Amino acid sequence: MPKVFTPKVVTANALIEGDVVYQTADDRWTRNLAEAELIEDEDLAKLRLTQAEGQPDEVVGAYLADAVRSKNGPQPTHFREDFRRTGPSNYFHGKQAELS
Amino acid sequence: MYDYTEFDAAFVAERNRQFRAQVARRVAGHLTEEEFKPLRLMNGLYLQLHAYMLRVAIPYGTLDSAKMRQLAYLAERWDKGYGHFTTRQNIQYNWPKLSDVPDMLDALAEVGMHAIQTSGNTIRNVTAD
Repeated sequence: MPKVFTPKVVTANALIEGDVVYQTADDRWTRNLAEAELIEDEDLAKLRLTQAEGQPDEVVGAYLADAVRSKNGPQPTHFREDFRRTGPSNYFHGKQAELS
Repeated sequence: MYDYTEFDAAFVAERNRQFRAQVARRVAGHLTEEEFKPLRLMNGLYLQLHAYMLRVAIPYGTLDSAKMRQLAYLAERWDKGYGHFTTRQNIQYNWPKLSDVPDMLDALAEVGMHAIQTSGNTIRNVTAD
């Protein structure tokens, strides 16, 4: 039985900075997951990923990550993506320190 | 402590020159990431979960004051003000920008240091319990 498609966001790392980035509906790359385009159609997800892979001068290693809809925008469903969203978990530095 | 010979210094300088050109070609789109990845790994540059990471070799875990000051300079100039000494007694910078790494490598070369052979199937610093 084919696997049921679940909502996705397109994510990657910024080429120069290495930051975690997410693709928005208006074709920007944002560092804020809440601004990401939540894709709920499988064919559209494949298309958006292909478009992201066609931007090697901006991002590296684009892929589709599982996410769910929430009132605060897309939210991760796996702890790896939660780490990518918030920054390092070993101690207080990186993204979460800069945002505080 | 080992001091670079003229050959060593020239070798590292040429290696850095090559990598600077490789980074320029990657940024300009003349190299794909698949082509660039082994080249950056050979120069100690990883792309990890949150950012790039540069691993600098510290042979035998030994440093003099000039090297130590330069490592601090790298952290302050091109990173977030700190580095991470590893279990192999190397040091890692966790937030470099790709475009800054060639300058970081040249700064390391000024004090006889490099990031060559700090990843992959290569000879590494030996550790023991």
